[in-house]
Amino acid sequence: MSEAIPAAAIVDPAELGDKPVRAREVWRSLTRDPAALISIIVLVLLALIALAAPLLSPHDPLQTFPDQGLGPQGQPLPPGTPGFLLGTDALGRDLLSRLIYGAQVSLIIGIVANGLATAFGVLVGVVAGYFGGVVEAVLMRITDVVISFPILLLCTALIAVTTRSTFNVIIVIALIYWTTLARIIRGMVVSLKEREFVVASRTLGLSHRAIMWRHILPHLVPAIIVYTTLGVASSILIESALSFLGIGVPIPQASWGQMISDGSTYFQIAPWMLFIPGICLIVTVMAFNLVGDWLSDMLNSSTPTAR
Amino acid sequence: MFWWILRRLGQMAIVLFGVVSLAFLLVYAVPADPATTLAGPNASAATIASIHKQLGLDEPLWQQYLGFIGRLLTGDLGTSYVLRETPVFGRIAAALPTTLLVAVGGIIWQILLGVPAGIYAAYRRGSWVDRVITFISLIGLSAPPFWLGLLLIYYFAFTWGLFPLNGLGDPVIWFLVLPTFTLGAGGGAWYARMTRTNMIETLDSPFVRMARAKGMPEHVILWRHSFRHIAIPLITMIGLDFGYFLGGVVIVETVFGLNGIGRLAFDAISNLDTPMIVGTVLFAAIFIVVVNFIVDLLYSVIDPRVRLNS
Amino acid sequence: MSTSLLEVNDLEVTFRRSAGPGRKAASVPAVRGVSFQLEAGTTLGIAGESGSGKSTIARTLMGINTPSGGSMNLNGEDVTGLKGRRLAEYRQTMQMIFQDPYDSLDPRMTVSQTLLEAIKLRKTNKPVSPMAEVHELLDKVGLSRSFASRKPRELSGGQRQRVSIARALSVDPRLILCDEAVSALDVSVRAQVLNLLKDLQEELGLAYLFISHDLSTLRFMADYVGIMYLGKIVELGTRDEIFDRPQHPYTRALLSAVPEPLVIDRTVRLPRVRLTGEPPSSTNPPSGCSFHPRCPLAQDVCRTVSPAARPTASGQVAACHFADPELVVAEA
Repeated sequence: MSEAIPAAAIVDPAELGDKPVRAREVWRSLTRDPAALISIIVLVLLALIALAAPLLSPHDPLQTFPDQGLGPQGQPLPPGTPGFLLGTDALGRDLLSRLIYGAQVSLIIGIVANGLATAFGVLVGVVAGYFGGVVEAVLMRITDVVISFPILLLCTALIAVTTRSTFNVIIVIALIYWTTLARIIRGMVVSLKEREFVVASRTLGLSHRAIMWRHILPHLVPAIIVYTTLGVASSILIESALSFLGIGVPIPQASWGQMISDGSTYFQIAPWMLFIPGICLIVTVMAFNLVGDWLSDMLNSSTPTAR
Repeated sequence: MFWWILRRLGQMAIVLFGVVSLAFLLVYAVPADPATTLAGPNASAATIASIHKQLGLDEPLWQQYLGFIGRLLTGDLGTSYVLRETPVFGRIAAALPTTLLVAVGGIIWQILLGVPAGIYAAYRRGSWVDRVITFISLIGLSAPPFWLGLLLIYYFAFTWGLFPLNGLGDPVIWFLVLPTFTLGAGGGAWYARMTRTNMIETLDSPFVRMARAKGMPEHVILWRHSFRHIAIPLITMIGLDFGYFLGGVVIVETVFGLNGIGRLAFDAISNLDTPMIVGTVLFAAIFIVVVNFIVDLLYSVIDPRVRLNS
Repeated sequence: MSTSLLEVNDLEVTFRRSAGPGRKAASVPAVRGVSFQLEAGTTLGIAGESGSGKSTIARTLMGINTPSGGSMNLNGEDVTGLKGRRLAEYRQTMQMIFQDPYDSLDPRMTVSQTLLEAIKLRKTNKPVSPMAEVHELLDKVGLSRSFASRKPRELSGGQRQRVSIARALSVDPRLILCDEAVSALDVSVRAQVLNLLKDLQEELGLAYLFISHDLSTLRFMADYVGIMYLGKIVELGTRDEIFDRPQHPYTRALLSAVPEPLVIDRTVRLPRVRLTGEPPSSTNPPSGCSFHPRCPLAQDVCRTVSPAARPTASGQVAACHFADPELVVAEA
């Protein structure tokens, strides 16, 4: 599915700079890119909200209010209802509270899943690119298999074979998402290992492991930062799709994807159940994308001019 | 050329073999028993055992696997556990047209939405039109497709009654508008970004500056010279997306209640219907792999440099 | 047979290129039977057009590329195809200075980090106080100690190349391979670096294998010069033999192309030989003498028979059917 490809595939990883980035330069480039600045603020606020969920949410996100939380025909209450700022869902649960706890779940899944995927993707990419030969052929064929497996079907299959849990969702997303990064990193390493400073340390007798740690990995950091940021956006989207298909985080836990999924059944009578979590999701994913774009711009432009 | 094709075909076979084996093993690894799913929770042990026998599930794993691969090599995808009497191949063939229609429609939307927008944004770089296009494409990239689909249904079908709610009917194209748009919107946003980036690069390149200096009209520069340069990456993308689409239409088919391959696969997985799972997954994977291959081939035909490098 | 520091016999390196769309798999012979010897404390210069296989020789000696034939002896010991720890030890006897000063130092490491890494890798004579050694090395290559904390992007090309030299010296090599080591530098800086290399040779008794397409650099640096064409050494002799009395038409052509009057002694003016055409592809070297399609002296024999390298009248060895044969029989 095309939405699983990070937006930064258009960034040429080879152009990501070697120059260390100083705090002042970061700030200057942020002031030139207000969208990124706003995105960072949004994400920081979101993280704070997710952390402080128990303090901020007016109700228990799982608590149903069969009496005051539902209308006379048992329908969900619209936003603005006293006591339920953003209204309620079909079971009479407070939407605002679910939204706040949902932020927690979506962010944790997005960040942890993508973190695991990054670690694995970098490992596979570096090893395949550096050693080449049979190692590379085997690793890249495995990557091909995973990529050729229809993504959502793979998720479905993996979750079907396990039980539904947040942990499994994280693992599944990570298992799928590492391939993109592995391919990108492999490409970068293939060209990096031919750079003269890498060859030089080989001729000095530096071990393969030391070369990878000291001379290859540090040069991948800018690209990893960019792709990780964009990857969080993709992971959050995948989670929402899984929830929509009914194989995401276990019920009754709230994630934004799960809330949209709940909303999809009732959207004709309670469209806000669909709109509110959807807009939160889009804003978050957009913020991650914008920050990723900004990072790649900034790291690109700090490429030393000498080369 | 011959050897290259042969090697690629070999690689494709390996990948497909891996995909099929992975699918088979995944289902086997399920703690749940397909027989229980079939016969219901109250079935007697004897019933379960007879179903096991019937489906060959009493054999050891390696025997099942070998038998399965053997049948596969003769082109027999087996019979669905759930919908007995129905060969998997027939079911897939029946579901295919719907999925193809949706996928082709999605591609058309992608191109129609993305390419002109990207070119125009690049041409008017920095203007408010550029900013609006960039912003909208960012939303397109960030919105979950199913959410977009539901939104479209809510307004265009439910509230305003412009399009049918779901399913397929007559005229088909009428029913396809919303699903294909849903499928193509994200990709369209992605194409707009890609096209814009490539186009900006092309417009900055020496040969375009040369053409300008010679006084060539802007529309000639834009369409005859620059477009050709962005066409190559575009073709690659379109080819790849087509493969992905066939594998990934589950969401759209679910949202719009269409009976395509994606839905078939999804239901098969929910029912632990091994032959159907492997069949659909294999089918989708074949598409992705074959399309990848064709793209590589096309690429080398269009761009002779590919032949020289590596 | 006296043991030379380095002895290379019939070295062959072939690259395999796999098939691609519209392309057959091919093997590219980059080095085709190269032999030479290098004595301690001397410099062998190797010249030739790009693609002639000069750099491949250096990279093969360093164990970066694998030879497909022939042997390499270091101090009389066969070092062809060494692996693992032995390869690492052997590599430290030899070090390499690379062409691109902007790429040969890790841009993320300071000069002292780069040098410390190398010093700590030294197999023999384990370092006692590494930081003191860093300063010593900087002194040796003519950089002040304040450079230790700098990053490569704060250095000029010449300074970077000095750091590369220091890095090479940090493992006490006997032989340094300089692969176009000064080609990327400005002329004034180039002279300083060349002088530094000469001083270090005298001080430490180093041998250099000096690869360059620039003949004036070789005339300055080298004691012996080998001229390469399409993976073969076509002429090999002392500096004066090669520069003053070139025998091979290709060598003459190369010398004719050098504009500086300094290089070619005016007293022994040779008829100018002009090279025509592009060097042929190394995938498919021409039959007979590889040089024949471009050679002004080419006869029928050149198209069929590959000339063996043989001693000539003026002392050097040349692989040409029409080089002046040596009048006196060479000593056994």
